[in-house]
Amino acid sequence: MVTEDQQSMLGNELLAVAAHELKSPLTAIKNIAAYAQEDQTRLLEDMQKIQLISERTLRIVHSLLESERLQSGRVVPITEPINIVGIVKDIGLQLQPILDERQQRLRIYDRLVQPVYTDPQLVEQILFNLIDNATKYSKQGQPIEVRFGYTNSHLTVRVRDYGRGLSNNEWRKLFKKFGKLKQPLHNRADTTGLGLYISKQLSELIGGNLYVQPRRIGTSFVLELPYMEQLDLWENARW
Amino acid sequence: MGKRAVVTTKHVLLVEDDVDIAEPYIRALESDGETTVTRVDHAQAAIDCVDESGDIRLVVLDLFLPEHNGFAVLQHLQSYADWQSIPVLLLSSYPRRALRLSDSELAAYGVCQFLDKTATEPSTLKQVVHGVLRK
Repeated sequence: MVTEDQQSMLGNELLAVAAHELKSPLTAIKNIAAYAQEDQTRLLEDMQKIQLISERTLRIVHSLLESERLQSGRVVPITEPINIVGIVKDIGLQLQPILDERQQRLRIYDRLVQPVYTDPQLVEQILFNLIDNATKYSKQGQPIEVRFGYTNSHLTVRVRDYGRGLSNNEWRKLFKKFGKLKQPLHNRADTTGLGLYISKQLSELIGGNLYVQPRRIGTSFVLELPYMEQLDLWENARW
Repeated sequence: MGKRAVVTTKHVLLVEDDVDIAEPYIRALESDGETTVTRVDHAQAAIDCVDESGDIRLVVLDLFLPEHNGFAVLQHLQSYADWQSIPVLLLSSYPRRALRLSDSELAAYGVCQFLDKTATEPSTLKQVVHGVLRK
């Protein structure tokens, strides 16, 4: 339970990071608009840029609000049997235009997967972010792989890219708020520095875990989802 | 026969990791042909550029960069006699007072002016850059 003092601290922190993170795109919009008044030779291009940066700014606001909702305990997961492979395939369909544009291919190694009881929307949000990140940090034509595995207590979903990997400095700030990594290879405007932080928080909220594994080439992000028998759910419900 | 004006282009290094912020600045600085701009997005690239090009007349430096921050660039420039005289404009959205460095301390790093990025429009940066280069 989050106390009033903690709420206030979270609010202050949110305000500080919001101010910090929104400064850059707003400065960019202001400068593009200011210079377009002096040099009108690229008006259409300038307007398109302003639109793109505004969209990025809105995404930052959305992520900030999502982050605040998480920290204040207002995201309450539901538990139901989920089709994890179906979720990954749906994400693939949603990202298909981007994958096509970057000539990347999402390979899903969908062997028989044991059912998992968890929150399908939150799992989709986490995996969407991981796969979307993989597309941004992979070169044109490089594949992105999703594999499923088992441990005694968890189902694991591995999202692997064959990009440039992570530097030591990036490892340290990987799951931190605004731990934006070195410039992605595509669409810099799409990064907010909050995606992995939110994904980590969400994975813990549903009793799972999210971590990274170094690879000789590229990076693997691993989402662990605990098995939960239906019987256990009924027992939990009685409590 | 009329005199032909000789325009000498001066090479400015802009160290800014946000391409959306950098572009209007570059357009303004290059608009009248007095300066050409090379933009880099991290500290090591800035040092490499100063070293390799050999003709950088001014550095416009953002403080918060991926990996090493802008002070790493300042320290590096100050450690070589050839580069100590290159003036540096700090361009940051970080508040000036939060740096906790006096003007003289910044000057010792080769910084001739601190500019608040959020308040510095492209035409303002152009005026300041030209002012420094004409000194």
